[in-house]
Amino acid sequence: MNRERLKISGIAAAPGIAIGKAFAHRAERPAVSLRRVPDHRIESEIERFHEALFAVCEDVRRTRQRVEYEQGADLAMIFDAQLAMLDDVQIKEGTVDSIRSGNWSAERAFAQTMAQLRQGFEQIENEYLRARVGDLKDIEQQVLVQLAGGGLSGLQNTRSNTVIFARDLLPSEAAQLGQRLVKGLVTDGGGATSHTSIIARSLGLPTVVATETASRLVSTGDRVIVDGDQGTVHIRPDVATLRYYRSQLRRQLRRERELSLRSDLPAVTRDGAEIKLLANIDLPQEIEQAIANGARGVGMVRTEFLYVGHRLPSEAEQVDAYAQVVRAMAPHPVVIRTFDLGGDKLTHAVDSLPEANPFLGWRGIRICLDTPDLFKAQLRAILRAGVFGDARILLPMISGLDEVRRAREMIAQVQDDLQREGIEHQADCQVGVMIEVPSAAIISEQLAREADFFSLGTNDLVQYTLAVDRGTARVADLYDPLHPAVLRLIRQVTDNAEAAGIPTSICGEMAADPVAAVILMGLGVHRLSVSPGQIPELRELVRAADMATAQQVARHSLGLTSGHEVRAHVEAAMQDVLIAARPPRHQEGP
Amino acid sequence: MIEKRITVTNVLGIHARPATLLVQAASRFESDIFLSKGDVSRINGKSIMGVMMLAAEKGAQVLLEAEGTDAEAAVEALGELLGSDFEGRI
Repeated sequence: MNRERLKISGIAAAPGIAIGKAFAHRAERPAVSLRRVPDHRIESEIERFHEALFAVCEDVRRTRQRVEYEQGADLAMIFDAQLAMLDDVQIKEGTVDSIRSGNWSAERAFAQTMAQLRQGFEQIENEYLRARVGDLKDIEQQVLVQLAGGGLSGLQNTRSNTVIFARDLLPSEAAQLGQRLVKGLVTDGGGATSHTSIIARSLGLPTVVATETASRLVSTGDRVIVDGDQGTVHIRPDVATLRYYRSQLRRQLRRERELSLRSDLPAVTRDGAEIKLLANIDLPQEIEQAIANGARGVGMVRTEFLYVGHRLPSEAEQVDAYAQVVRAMAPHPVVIRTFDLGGDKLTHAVDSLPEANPFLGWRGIRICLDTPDLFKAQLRAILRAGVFGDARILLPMISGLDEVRRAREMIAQVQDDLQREGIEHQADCQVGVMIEVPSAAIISEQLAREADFFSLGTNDLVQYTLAVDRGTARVADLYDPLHPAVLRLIRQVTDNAEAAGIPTSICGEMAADPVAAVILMGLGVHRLSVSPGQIPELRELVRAADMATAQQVARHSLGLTSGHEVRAHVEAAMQDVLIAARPPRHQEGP
Repeated sequence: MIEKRITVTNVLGIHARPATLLVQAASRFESDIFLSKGDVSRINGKSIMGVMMLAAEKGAQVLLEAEGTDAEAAVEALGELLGSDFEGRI
């Protein structure tokens, strides 16, 4: 293992600085210790082996459950074979015999036993059986990792601040990260818009993704620094780097305390324009932070998260989840986006087929309209939760007028049903349209007549307009929300919305970038929805800004030729405002 | 000791899934279970590694043996399973 100090770059996925000890989650196959075990320790070594087997069994069982729910019973049977292998007498007896007779460590005895079995397997002529060598290697790896201190479950043994390094985390694993001692996250794969990143942001966990190699270069226990603002990771940093980041971390904590004292101040520009600061939330419990930070409503509830790790939520479960948010936020509005499945999100929740281009496939409103039972249950739940305050419906992935009309028809039907059944519900529920497909932006004039509000989903709008998947490292640089083409589309949308007398909000990540936020305000987007943790910074920005200047800067930006030019222009024209939102670091980072 | 000769009929032979089902079924019996095929003799019928390495393909002749208090019931149940299409779950 390389012991050099390293600086690795990736994509900044959740802001902030974390300093701690690395925890490598399922990193490379651990080195197998060659140590011998003294006679009096043999029984405890055997015990250790059995405990590791048991822990891996539990893991596989959990995975099996998830797969069975997500992919069906057939695929889950693969894990039955793994479970049977973990319980295999030959493996157990072979390993135990080898520990006893050779005084080998559990790792070595187990690896040896597995190697023998593998050899036998590789000689089998039946290709179906030979392919099972993959399962053998898989469980071998899992048991060795477990013996070396464990997968995520090994986290329980950590005492100091921990930064998790992983190739990739499942959203369900990421959701477990809300533990006190976990201070940061680094993954080899993923993108800023992947679900893991979204969860990390909502947990306030400084995160860098798409590092490609970090999990392989780090060892558990290494001192590491995560710079979630610049997208860099330092492994085994030198004293100067450490000192620099310690002071940055102190500043970060001090600033958080200062800003939290200002959460009651109104978000009004110096020339009197009011901007509504809203929260995007994934999990109902985030509503507390949103309220504490002074959110004036929820700009988007991502309802897909009700799925993670569970079966499809029932209508009653949805009513509970939505009502919790609606009640807490009342009288301010809560915009609930209907299931935006497909693309990269939870395609297994509905019966979807593999697609060559999932982002251009069966997703969002297309799935909603094609699975009326699922969609209607959600619409009913939203309308029922609306009784406790002001719930609003937001339709994802609209690409044409017909989809809005069909959705509205279904909403009307559901309202009739509830009426007939005598179930209390919100009668005057607003229905908004997500503008995230370029065609929707282009026909926004027509859509504005059928919608009560627009919400710009810039993550997808940028990806579709520029034909760039930001999760693909090689083209990630081309993903630029400030690209003049994107800005012109947004201008078109806000103009049409204004003409029709409906508001436009933004719920994409773009709003959290101070430069973009200024332009959006100038383009006529007066409702900015960001993660709860990002609201205080945005409030400072709004209060320092001047709407007339923002409009001027936005207008000028539309005529520039690249995102870089736009950024440079805004930075030059509104330097003070940007500094108010995000004070620069004292010195350049090492 | 009870024994029985069985011809494997499952199209893909006793690969991972049938082997899993067989081992699960065998483990329910108290008796020791052995399987032999050609020059592979008396592998442990409760070990998935053993059963898979038997590599019994369709048409293979397998000797099933059981030794213990419930040997008779074991041979009957496991024999039926071995000669079946494993509930269609190839």
